[in-house]
Amino acid sequence: MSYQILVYSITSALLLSLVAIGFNLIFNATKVFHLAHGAIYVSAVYAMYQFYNVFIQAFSRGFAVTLSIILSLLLISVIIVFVEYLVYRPLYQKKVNSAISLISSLGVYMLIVNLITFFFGNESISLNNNFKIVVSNEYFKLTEIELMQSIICVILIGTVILLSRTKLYTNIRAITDNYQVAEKFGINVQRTRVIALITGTILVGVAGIMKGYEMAIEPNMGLTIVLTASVAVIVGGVNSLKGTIIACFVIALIENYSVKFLSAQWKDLLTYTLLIGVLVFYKQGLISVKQRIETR
Amino acid sequence: MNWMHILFMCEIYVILSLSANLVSGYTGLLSFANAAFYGLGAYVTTLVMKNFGFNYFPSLLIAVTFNILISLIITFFSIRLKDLYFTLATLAFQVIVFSVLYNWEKVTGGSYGISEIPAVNIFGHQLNGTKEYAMLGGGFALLVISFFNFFQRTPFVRLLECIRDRELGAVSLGKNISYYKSICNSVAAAFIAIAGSLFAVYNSYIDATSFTLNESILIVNMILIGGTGNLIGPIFGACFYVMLPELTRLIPIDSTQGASLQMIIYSLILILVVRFKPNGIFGKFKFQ
Repeated sequence: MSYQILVYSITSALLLSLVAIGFNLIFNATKVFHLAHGAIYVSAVYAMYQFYNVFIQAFSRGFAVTLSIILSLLLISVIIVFVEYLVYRPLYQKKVNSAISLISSLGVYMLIVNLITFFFGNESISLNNNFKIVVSNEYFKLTEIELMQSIICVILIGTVILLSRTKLYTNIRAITDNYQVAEKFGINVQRTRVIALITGTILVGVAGIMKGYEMAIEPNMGLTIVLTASVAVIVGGVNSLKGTIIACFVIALIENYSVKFLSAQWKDLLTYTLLIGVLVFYKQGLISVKQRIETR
Repeated sequence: MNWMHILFMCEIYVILSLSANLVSGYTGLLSFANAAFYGLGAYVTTLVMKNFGFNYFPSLLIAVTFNILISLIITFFSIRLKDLYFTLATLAFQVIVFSVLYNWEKVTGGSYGISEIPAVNIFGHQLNGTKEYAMLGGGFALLVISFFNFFQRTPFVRLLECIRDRELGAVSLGKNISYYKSICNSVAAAFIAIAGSLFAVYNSYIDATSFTLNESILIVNMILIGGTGNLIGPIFGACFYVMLPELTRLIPIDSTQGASLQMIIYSLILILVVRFKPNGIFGKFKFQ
């Protein structure tokens, strides 16, 4: 029983890390508290569903799945570029504060989610949910999709950590610190913002599609997942990717192990109590440079 | 079309948005905990009325006191945090209150909610019908509006505006900022309790899903669309939000699509207002 919870925690922590790393990159590069991330998460699943239903009539199953994954990731990248050009960039040029960019991101979230509800209805959809169990022993069981999720997540997270040693990530860090100085030193701020947005979007799109294969998705569940991810980002320390990943594991372990003692409905309460605890008593987060997080 | 119902909802949302405006418009703190206080007001009034057999007005008084105490607790935790982090702390508080209301089945009835809330009794006269509740709500709304109308002219509000626009200046004048911010939070929480109690006795049934994070987001959107820092903006925002479903009802589509169409229009207006007119349609204070 206990080992099974551990396996669940690890798979959900890996999925949450994908969302949270994307959130972290976008938050650092654009300073927008990007709640529309949740809308992107949901729209990836719906785009995948729609493309798959179209392509399955013409092609074989494997090819249709691959093609629709690629097309849906492309679609959400186009959406995020539109959002950047129409909403975030003008606000960035006006130098508004973080609260107002949060509100604009919330507006984008509401717009996308309600467009999805308008066209696809309120029902939850699931891409496929009968999976074989591939690993089964006396301690735990692992289904096909959980194994696949873990492998893909580990590959993607590894890639991002490798990428975090390149020039691009250094540019993002420079923009986070002081974008005016970064601009003076010849860093193309606009381009870096777009690249960070697209990277984060693709990560969250992959997470959404994999979640859609595991369980049913409904239009309004994006807000919960992005808020949990943002808690992970704040708890882990805002400008540390490793801190974000560690915080994801902490949150997933707390949420899954609390089921043993409390009913499953209380897990939101634990997550947000953790957030308040960190905000009040441990402002710099788990891993970070020595600076109060609110002064950034 | 039930005009009295619309009027009543307008009154509730006017109270809510004016109280939210006290925190967000005058003090410049964006709070997402309004629906939590709304829910606490509704639940405390209901529980006192049902379990102790109190009349409406004493229970309202208890709800107001309770909300002020809770707001002092949340203020204690969140008041030193700056803009985004204050918002996050209030958001966390909102989620925590919602999950307590939704899951503590022994007291709040959990997802079943509480039904058969007793009617309001004024000097032996039992209120019934939407019209009489609309009059009661109108009385409270006028009270709140006239309070804020008076409040706008006091020197206190100029101090709050000073805190909002230049916090360092207020500090250098020797003002205790946290003290004034916590006063604002408590007064807003007290007024929101009135709105919650009205909502409970009017519907005679409450459940936690009326007090979710989305409700808080809507309240914040109302004051941002109308404009913060004055009286007319929040009132306009609240009335606009309540009237919008009546407009979209003219378009022949089914109710789910109608609801999402409303939210599409609403979020488009929000994005456009934030983009082109950051101080709202009637606003005085620019949120930046």
